[in-house]
This record gives sequence, structure tokens and C-alpha cells, in this order.
Amino acid sequence: MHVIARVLAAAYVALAVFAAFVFVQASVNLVNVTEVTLRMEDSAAVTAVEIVWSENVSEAAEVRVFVNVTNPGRVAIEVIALEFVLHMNDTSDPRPWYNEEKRDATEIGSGGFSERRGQGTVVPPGETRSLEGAVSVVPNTVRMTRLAKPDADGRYHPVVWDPWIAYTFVDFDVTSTRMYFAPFHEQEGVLPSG
Amino acid sequence: MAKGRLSGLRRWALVLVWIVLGALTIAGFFIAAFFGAFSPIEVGDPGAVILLVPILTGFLLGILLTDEEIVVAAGAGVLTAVLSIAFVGLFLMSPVLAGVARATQPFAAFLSSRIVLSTIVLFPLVVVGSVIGRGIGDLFLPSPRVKQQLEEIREETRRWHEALDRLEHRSRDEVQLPEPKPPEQRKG
Repeated sequence: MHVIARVLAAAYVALAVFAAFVFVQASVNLVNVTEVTLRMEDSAAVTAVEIVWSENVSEAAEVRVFVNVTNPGRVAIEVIALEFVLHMNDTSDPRPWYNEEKRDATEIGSGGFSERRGQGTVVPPGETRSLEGAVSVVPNTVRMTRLAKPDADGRYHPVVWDPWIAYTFVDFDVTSTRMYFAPFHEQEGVLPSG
Repeated sequence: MAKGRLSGLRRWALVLVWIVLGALTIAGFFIAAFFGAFSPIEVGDPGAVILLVPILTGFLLGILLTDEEIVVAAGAGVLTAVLSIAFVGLFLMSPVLAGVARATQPFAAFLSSRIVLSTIVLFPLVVVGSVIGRGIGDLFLPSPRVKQQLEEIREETRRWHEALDRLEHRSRDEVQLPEPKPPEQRKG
């Protein structure tokens, strides 16, 4: 082999070794990202709803929704958005809380947050983080009328409908994924605080 | 006989090694450019990498196969392209192979579309690169073995020419043409 060809052969081998490293690492990354994407389905849930209100319809109220997100994979994720539609179940109406017509009549409004990439909530592998989204209700509005629907015991039964989060990966610049999770109905009822 | 066979096997094994290394290079950089989000390195311009790396790798492969016939270089280019596409397929299949995902119909459709795209992009570039590399290598970087073979061929040709010259001289010396007779004078 010509001496220049020998030098080129060495460069060829070095290039191949480097490319092999890239190949293996990229494959591992793809496996990790796919794993999170496929296992995220059951990893988010509404855990509680808190009503900060004096129960006086002439005063503003805030409904806070708490969502737990668990990272089921081996790479960190970043939750950049949470969104849901808040309803207040009117227990005097015998239709179930998930009835479409009833939901139309009990909708208060949508809530949540949206952050830029890098400013969201990072969830390390295997860990759980609690997210909070809020809906503000001002006095003398239809929303306030719909909020003020306690049951006979003075408890409120909020419904969190169509909740979803958008997450991306801390170490990989992939398009964010939107993930819907189960709606929530406060069966026991919640007492307002504040 | 056995020595010749062993040397032949070694030659083909080396060709195979160059093919595998070339395929790894092409697949690694293709993945880094085309699936940049998963790559540990950042390539500047993905388009340039996708176009240049297969040509460059094919070119180097051609130079490394200067000792072989040009058909071998072209064949090696084809094999390198096929193997690199297989590596790209392996990368895309990695979640299924790792048991993380299931091979569904949409996934198969996605996989085949990506493989077809890789084939269209990689195949001609690698083959053209290897043939050009082989030609350039032949012109400027012949190995000592090839040089020696050429010298031997030249020497043999020279010997043949000399032998032919000698033959020509000898036949000229041996075949004597009869002297032309003077015209006869008539008596009377």
C-alpha cells in the first residue's frame, strides 16, 4: 500500500470508530426517548383540587388544580405546559358529571400554564413532580354563578376535564409531546379555604 | 497452493473489513445528520453531511482498494451502501430490538419510508465515490506491489520485443535472395 494510502487507511479506521460511537449512543438515546414516550400514558394524574374562596359571590375565587407527573424512563423530561377545562358539578342535576350536555352547562373555564423550553418543570428519571394550574373566577360573571354550586353539605365537586401536559426532553431537542390523561371528579367534595 | 488460498482469503477479509468500517462511518454520520436530536454530536449542516460523507467514505474506500480491480471497488461500494442502510434500519429498529416498543404497522410504514429515503440518498453517492477513489488511487497512489507488477509487465514486453527483433534479424541473415542474372548477350 502506498504511504499516503496508509495514512488515509488510518484516518478511515479512526472515522469509523468515531461513527460507531455516534451510532451506539444515538441508538441508546432513541431507545430511552421511545421508552418514555410509550410509558408516559399512565404517568400523570390530577391529585387534588383546592378552592381558595370565601364563598362570597362578590369576591374573586381561585381554583387550583394539582397534577402529579412521574418520569417512567431513564432520561430527564421537562414539562412545559399543563392545560385543562374546569367544571363544577352541580349535584342537584341527576345526570352524571361526565355527561356532555351537563358539562356544557357547568364549564367554568380553562386553566394551566405554558412555558418556554428550558423554563418548564424538569422531572428526573424515576421521580415525581407536582404541577399546579389555576383558574381565576371574578365576581358577577357566569363563571362565578357556575362555581357557586355546593352540595347539601356545603362541599364542592369540581371536575377537571381534558387535562393534558406537554413535555419535552432535557437532553434531546425533540418536538414536544402532548399527553392527555384521565379526567378528574372530586367525588368526596372539597371545602373552600381562605 | 494453500498459501495462495490463505493470501486470497486475507485479501477478501481485508476488503470486507473496509466495507464494514465504511458502512459504519456512513451510517453514523447519516444518523447524526438525519436524526440529529438523538445524536451525541452536533453536525453543522445536515444536508452537507448527508451528501459529502458517503462520497468521501466511498472515495477513501476506492483508494484503499487500489490493488483490486475496479469492479471489486464498485462492488465494495454497493455492499457498503447496502450495509450502511442496514445499519440505519438497525438504528430505527433499536426500540423494538430493546423490547421497549412493539413493531406495529404504522411503525413498519415509518421504517420502510426512512429506509427507502436512505437508499435513494446513500446508494449512488457511495458507489460513485468508490469508483472515483479507485481511479484516483490507481493514478496517483499505486501500491509497491502494483508498481512491481507494472515493472514486470514492462520488462516482459521489452524481452518480447528483443526476441522479436532477434528473430527478424536471423531470418534476414538465413534467407539469401538469389543474385539477379545479367541479361544474356546473343551470339551472331
